Amino acid sequence: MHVAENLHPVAISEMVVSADPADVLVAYGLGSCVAICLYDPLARVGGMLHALLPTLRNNNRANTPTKFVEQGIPLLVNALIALGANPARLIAHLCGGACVLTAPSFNGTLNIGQLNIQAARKGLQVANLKLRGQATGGDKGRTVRLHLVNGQVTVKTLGQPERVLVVER
Amino acid sequence: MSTQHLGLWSKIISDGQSQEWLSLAMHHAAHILSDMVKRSIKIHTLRTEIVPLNELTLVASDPEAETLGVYLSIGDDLPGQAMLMLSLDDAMYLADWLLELRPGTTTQLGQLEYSALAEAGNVMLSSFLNALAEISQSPLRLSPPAVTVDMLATILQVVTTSVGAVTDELLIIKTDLKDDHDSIWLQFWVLPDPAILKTLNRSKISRVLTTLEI
Repeated sequence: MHVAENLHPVAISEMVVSADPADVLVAYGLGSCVAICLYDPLARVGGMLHALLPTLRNNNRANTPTKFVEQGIPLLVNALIALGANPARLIAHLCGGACVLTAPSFNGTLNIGQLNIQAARKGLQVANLKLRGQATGGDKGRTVRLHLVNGQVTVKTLGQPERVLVVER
Repeated sequence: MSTQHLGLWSKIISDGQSQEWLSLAMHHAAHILSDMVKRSIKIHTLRTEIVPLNELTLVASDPEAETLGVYLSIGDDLPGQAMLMLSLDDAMYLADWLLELRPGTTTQLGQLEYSALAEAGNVMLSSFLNALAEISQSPLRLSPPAVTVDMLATILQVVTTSVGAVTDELLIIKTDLKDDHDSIWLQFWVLPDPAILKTLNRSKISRVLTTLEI
């Protein structure tokens, strides 16, 4: 059976969840940003967070908490629970966190990708979610897709064919 | 957040003369690039716009398009960042012009081509900002240019990373430039420090502050 795909872009600082198997959630060209994809294979619900920065500084109240990895992960988990997901079944994938620009003058921003990756790993651990697949770091942007029909996560980098992330047991 | 250091940007963006100043400064930048490539490069449109962060990469018609970006950060009296963007095909065309090669010669960007393209972005931005800074007689500090080829969405994301912690919106001075024969199309963005948005009277301005079709 072929399921028609409805492509839903997930913009910077956004989170999208869905229970429609025809949906494909996509974050285009992740640089230092990270995409956290969660999927419950039994309930067949999933969601993606496209976070720009690791954490909100100074405990300020964020206008857009989904801009931040640490604040966004619990929101994504809760949104999926509200859609019928069981957190114990959620499969987590992490993509992004690249260092796209390399120049001596950008030392301050160079580590954002790595900090985002660290924040995501920690956030998933705090949420008691095991990371089952990842494509992180490096110096190239990535387009990431989460296919709601089967929870498959695919990653595309410039000049390379799209590949399916292996789910680690 | 202090906005005292943004006095010059405030003057440029808010003042009734802003369109004229921006236009003059960008014409100066286009003129400098024209001199470099020995061809006429002209402004097609110049637009100052407020863009929500989450719309930045979605407005691109093809967010995965192969794009070259030259990035610089700006300090002192005109704090912010700037990005010169062009498709990879146009970048190779521009590299041929810069290196005085027959158009179509470059089929792959190497160290030499990157360096030439970075210098073009550097010179354009410097001339644009120096023209604006003449108003205040203030010193400016530019970072060395950083060049990358990646997806358009990835290039656009670069400008959000350094300011994302303090803003949900960006003020962007967007200029489209073309040569006389439409051989290449360059997008040149200057992004003042987003703290400038706090100094603007938002009730009196629309999302698009100025548009100039030339």
